[in-house]
Amino acid sequence: MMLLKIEGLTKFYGDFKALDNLNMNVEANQIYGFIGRNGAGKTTTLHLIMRFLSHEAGSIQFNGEPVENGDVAFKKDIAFVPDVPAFPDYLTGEAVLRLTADFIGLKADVATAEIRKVIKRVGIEYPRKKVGSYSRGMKQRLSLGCALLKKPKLLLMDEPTSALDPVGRKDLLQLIKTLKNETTVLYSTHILNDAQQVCDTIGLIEAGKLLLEGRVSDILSPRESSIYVIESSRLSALKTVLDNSKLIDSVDISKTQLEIHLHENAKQTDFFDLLSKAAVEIESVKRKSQSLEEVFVEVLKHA
Amino acid sequence: MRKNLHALLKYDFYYFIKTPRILILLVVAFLLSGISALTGRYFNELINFALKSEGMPPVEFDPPTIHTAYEQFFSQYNQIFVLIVIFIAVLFFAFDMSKRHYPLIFSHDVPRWLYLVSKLLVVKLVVFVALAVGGLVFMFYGFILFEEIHVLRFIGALMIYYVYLAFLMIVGALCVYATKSQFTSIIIVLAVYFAFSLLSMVQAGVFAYMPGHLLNQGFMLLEGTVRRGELLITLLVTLGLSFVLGWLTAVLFEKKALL
Repeated sequence: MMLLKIEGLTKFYGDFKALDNLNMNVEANQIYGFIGRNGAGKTTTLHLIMRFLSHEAGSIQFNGEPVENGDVAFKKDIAFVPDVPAFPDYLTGEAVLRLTADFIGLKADVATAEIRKVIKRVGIEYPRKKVGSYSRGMKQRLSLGCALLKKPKLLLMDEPTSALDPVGRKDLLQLIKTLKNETTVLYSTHILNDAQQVCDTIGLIEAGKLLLEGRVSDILSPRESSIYVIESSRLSALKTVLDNSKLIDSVDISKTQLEIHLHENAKQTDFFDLLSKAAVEIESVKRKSQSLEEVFVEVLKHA
Repeated sequence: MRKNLHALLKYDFYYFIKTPRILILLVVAFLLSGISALTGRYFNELINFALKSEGMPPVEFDPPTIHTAYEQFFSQYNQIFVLIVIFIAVLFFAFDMSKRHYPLIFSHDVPRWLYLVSKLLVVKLVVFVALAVGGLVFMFYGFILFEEIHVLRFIGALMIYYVYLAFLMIVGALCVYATKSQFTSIIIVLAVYFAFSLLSMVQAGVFAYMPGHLLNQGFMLLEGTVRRGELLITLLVTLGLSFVLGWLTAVLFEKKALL
């Protein structure tokens, strides 16, 4: 089921086009990694979904209903964790959660029980201390706690791990993984390793356009890769042959193998023909799995 | 709607209750009122003390009355209390914007106009309470020192003064959301305050009914010299302007990029 559908979304800041005809589809009950470089348009997209900003063209549909400027009812089912969570310094963590419970409309006794659960789940160590004394990581946890209190259908998280120390990051990623069966998470990040760890689907945004969208398992599958690894006793001779072919973008040689990057239009059958005609003994040819980082770099190279 | 207003009011009251801000306002109101009553009562002694310290001979004045104290009260409030109210109101309206608290509130199904309603209600109530405390303190000391007080007229004058303060607070809200700057907003509201104070000296045409006249009319009510028709029109003009400015603020805030 499609939970969030964005079509042709365009946003200008003055003359600067922050989003350029963005299309995006987020299905229910998955963790969607919204990846891209800093300034690619990730935060703008999330702010537009939350209606913190208004857009110039395009449409946003949440749960099958269009989201227009001034709409607020849809926010009952959406929670948002900003990149830099901010709370009034004079409130305690517990007071912030109680206030959130008031906004959600939880009755006092239900709120107390839910707040206790959330404090335990996200690991807020000092709920009775003032937020002003909290570390950035603890504020991030509190923000996530506020979001979870809402039991949202869609949880938007804007670069939640970017400022955390390695332990805090690991804990938060672990927590995000546990959300998979409860809600849909749209998780924006430029840390590709994080996205690869937790996401089911990714969307890659660059200069306000979505360049790639799909399931992580498909995108990183060796079948989709255009990189081959060849083992041979005559690597240098083989490299000379391959270097002169238009089918190949680059050939990297190491002591034991060649790593070959096929041209984007090259067919696998033509490549195998080329190898057979090279008259060089080949021990093995394998298609190489790519990391998300490699896919990212490759997609940006061709953008 | 009800749960959102309840949460917003709670959030906004925390701003005053969990910080020293409401205390500052109450202490200022208390001190100004006490000082007004005392300076009214001992006005002649204070003047003669000042003259004596300059080596000048004392002057014979008429004995002070409660009206001298009224004069002192409104003079103190016009010079000091109003400035503190302007500062507190502008900082309050700008607080969520400058501290980036909007996601905490607008991640929920909160209409923007309701957010403004809550902000205006809370700041107006806080100022009302401070003014009421100031009024009570003044009436208490006034009665002790002069053995007379015009309770109803004094409350009426305070209410008139409050309408003017409420108008300035709405100007503050509009400036904050239009300029997105606390400093600029404070400067503009102060300029509006001084402009209307100057206009209160003009008695011609529509200028005779501008909000600044409420300052004089409150005092004239105490003196028993107010013209009811003029007072009514000035009140209606001020309330009308407050409503229009409040509506403009809501329209502006509705279109505003929150982050």
